[in-house]
Amino acid sequence: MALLSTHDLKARYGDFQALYGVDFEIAAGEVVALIGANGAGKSTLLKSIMGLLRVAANMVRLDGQPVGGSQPHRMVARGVAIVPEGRRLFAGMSVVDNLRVAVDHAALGRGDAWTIERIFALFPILEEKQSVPVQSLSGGQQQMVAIGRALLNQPRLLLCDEISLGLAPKVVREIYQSISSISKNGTAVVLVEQDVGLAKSASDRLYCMLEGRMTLTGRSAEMSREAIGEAYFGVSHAVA
Amino acid sequence: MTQAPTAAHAASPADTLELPFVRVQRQTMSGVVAMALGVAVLFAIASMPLWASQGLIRDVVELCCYIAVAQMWNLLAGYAGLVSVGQQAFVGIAAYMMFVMAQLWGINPFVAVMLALLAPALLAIPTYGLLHRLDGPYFAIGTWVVAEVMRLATSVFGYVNAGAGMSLRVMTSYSPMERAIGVSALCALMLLVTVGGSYLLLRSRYGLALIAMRDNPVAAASQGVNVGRLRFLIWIAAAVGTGLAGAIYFMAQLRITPPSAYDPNWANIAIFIVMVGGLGSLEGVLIGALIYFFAERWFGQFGATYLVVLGLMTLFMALFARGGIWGLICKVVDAPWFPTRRKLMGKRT
Amino acid sequence: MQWLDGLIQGILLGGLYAQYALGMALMFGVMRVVNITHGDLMILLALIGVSLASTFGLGPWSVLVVLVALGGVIGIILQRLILNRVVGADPLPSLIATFGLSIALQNAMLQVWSADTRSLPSGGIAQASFQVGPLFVGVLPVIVLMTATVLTAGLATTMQYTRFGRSLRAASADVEAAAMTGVNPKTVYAGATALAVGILGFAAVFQSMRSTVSPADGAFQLIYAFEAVIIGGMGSIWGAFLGAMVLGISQSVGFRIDPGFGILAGHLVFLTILALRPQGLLGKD
Repeated sequence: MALLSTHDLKARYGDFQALYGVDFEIAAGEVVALIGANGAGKSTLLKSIMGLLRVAANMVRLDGQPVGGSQPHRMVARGVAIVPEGRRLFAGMSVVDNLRVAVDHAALGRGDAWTIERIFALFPILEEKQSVPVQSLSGGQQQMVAIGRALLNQPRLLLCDEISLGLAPKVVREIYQSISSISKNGTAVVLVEQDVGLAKSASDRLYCMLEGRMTLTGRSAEMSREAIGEAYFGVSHAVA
Repeated sequence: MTQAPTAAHAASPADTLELPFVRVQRQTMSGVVAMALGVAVLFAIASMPLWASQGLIRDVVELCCYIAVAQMWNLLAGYAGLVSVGQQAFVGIAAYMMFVMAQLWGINPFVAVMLALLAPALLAIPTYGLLHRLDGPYFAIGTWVVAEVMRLATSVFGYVNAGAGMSLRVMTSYSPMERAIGVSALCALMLLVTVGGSYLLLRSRYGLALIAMRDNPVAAASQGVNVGRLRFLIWIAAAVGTGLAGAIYFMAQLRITPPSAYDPNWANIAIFIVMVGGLGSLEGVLIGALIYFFAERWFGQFGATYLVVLGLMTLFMALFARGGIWGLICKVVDAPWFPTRRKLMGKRT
Repeated sequence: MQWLDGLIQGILLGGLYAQYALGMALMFGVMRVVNITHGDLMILLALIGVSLASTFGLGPWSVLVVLVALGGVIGIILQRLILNRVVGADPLPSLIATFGLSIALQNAMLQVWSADTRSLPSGGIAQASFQVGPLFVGVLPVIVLMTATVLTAGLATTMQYTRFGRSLRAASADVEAAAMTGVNPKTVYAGATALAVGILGFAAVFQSMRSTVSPADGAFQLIYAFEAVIIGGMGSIWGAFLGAMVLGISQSVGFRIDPGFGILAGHLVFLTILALRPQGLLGKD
């Protein structure tokens, strides 16, 4: 059974409909990539899963139970954590305090696979800067804090929204190495990515979205560039 | 083979393009009716000495002052995004300046009302300079403290008789009829300037700029609206309008003291009227003022309970009906009394 | 000697102002909620305390316990019923909603308790004083100052080192991100408001012991609380304490220059700091 699945998921921002019936699923321990152009609905999908957008209860299921439209903190308690777009760290608080908030509210009954020490082992620079106000860190370091904060929620499912955005390639490599070790620990990971190559290489399966709909899905290793290109931009946009 | 090129040369764009017929409609039927009624009301007010009793005149003057102060607060909060809880500073300073000019300097009191408006305008400049960089709540608290400073400073200022206050004894040199004419005319003028002036402003291109600024200051600035300067001008205009109401109110009262001149209740009344009537709408101010006025007249004799009700109404509006009573009416019926929208009309078929 | 006396009296006055300011620091400084009823709630608690004391013959310390608990309950109700609906980036809704509630509350208190001034019998503490060198210092003001210091230290420690404090700071920095990290914003805000109004219970008892209270007094306490928090710097608990001290000393010294100048001096110092250092003395840039 899938860990998390969406069924004909529809979502709107006021009058604007962003998702037109999206089906998605991820099994325990999988790494699934979600690609698509800007405005395709990738972040909207993650927000709907996390409860940041109101959707019908049955449209999102965790362990088969309807959880759509739950409060975000309830989703955290159930074992879903998110590294949000734009990082959204707690400005004015130190690095370690940012992490401690997550520890305070970790999902119960998951043991403590992740501790602050293990996060420091994964991202050594954070240990050095632990008392520093988080807004004075570089973009890459902030991304590390954001990932660490999500992990300290002890998630079964980690949602990553464009974690490579605005980061230097070397930093991106470092972060994606950490994703791989996170997944080896048994956590399922959803990777929303703009960089198609990175998404393909880092994931087991891949979904492509366009204008609020799924246009392609399959095993990452087996996907051709042509198929992805058509699904990404839409067949009707094909030139000649 | 040579036909096509000559045909292409012969046909020019002006011949083939037909511009669509457009018309911008700004007035509505309800607006025309309201305008006619408004003019009638203004004449009625100006002519009060001919048909109204002293008591009624005093009541109407009070109501008009409430409307003026509330409308100025409406401009500030509803359009310029400046929430002030210290407008009583301008009420007081204009009223005191009028008393000083008429009583101490011997200027004709009715002329003094207009000249005294210099005082709130001058006070508005440094207060804006001090406060404008502050965020919402800080700005509000700052305006309140400025008003308190004015009150306390006036209470120890010997020239205006400090805490004992002043009386406008020069008015006794005018007959009751003359006083009534003067006050009624000033009242009508005040309504014309504050309510009518606001309406004209909102219909002009400055009005468009104001509405843009209200909805999204950053976007408005990107479209060339000089947000800072517009806010400053609105601040000064509101100060002067509020001051005018203060000068007229206390001229009718004939007596002024620091606690009455700088009474925070002016701010309370303005906030109540605008928030219950409908923020950002002229119609709302009129509705709110009438509600407040009649509630005070009918229920005030039973103690302070009516204020409990008014307070709860304001709370209710802030929580559930941000557009006030006018906003609720607008959901049912679209008949503005002061239309400010522009409608693009196509060809009549 | 006038100046030293003024300074000491100012510090003691600051102790009382600090108790108004602490709750304001939590609500305005941390949660960015403008609560116009802050002063009225203190008066409400004080009037209830006076009525309890006269009806049941309770001493001031029993009244204190009751009022702090009652304050906590009132805070939770206020947050759940009203403030939860107006929390957000725009301060206008919370300002208007609490403004309306303030008018309703003040006039309801007026109907119930009338405009008479009342005070809490203190069993002699309000009159007692002891000598320090050439100066006489009241016992009650010293108790007020010590209470204020303990409350400030306790609150600052709570904000810095406890789970609740971290959750509140996180929710104030970015409420959506806090929710995504597992913080329940409604619970945390209710806790903060309960704390803020509970602390007012202390201020209520001390104010009614040292002086009188009547339904319309709320506005003055409110303005001093705001001034103290802004002088001290938003988001800083010790800042609110410091701001209260600055305000108390300004008023006290001003009073000694001329009795009509006391409060005015405080306002002028506030406006000066607003002009020169708007982020406050301990505020971050």
